[in-house]
Amino acid sequence: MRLVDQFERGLDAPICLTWELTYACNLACAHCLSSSGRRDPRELSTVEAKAVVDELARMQVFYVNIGGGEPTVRPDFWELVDYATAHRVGVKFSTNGVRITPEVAARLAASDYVDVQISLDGATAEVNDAVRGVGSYATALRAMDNLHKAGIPGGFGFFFSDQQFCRVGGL
Amino acid sequence: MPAAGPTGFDLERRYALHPQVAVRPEPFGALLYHFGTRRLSFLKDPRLLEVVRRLADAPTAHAACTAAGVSEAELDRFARALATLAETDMLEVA
Repeated sequence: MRLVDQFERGLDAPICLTWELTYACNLACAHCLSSSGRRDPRELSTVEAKAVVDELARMQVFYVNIGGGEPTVRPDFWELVDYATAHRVGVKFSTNGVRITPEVAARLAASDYVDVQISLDGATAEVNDAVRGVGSYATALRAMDNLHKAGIPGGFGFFFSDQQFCRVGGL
Repeated sequence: MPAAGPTGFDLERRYALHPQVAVRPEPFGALLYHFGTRRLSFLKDPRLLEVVRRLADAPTAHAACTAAGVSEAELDRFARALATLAETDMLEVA
């Protein structure tokens, strides 16, 4: 059987999946599509979230992309990250950086199973904060600085909007 | 006896899966995911999965291939697949 035919039947489980752990967020970005801002009272409890991780581990899903909302504002967020990585489910999470303190950065640097994505919507505070709110640029850069000082290698990935296109040089 | 190729992979050495690699069996063979490099590899033959599973307990990669039912005629093909896995750090010399 040709490989292409075998893949037509799909994989036994996803390679990765995206998990909006919470809709709670400390920001109110202009473009947000996740109904985010306020915590959904029906969101999963710690125990329920761990049960999801158990299932992912059983299916051998290699990693989850955790977003929100701002996932790090969940008080149990680091507990869930530790739980996932202890079960060999890698975690890549998106954050605006609000909880990436030097202590958290050091903890993240110690794990091979965690990637962090800091969200920015502009190369300057002026452009970014118009979209993401006052102070969000400084928060994101402080988080990046903490990760950098903890020895976590970094890179950029970005997409364009009509407001950013002419400012790419600023990166 | 096949000699070490240009990549340094040597069928007559013992190899093992890198400890950060997870193996997930699939109908076509298996998926390997390396948590260190974040790389994904497809093993497109169930026997290659069998070879990979036997590597650590076999004295050489060659012996692991033989134990998994790989014939001498197929050996070059399997050696190339193993060499690719070694180049991408999925395997290491044990």
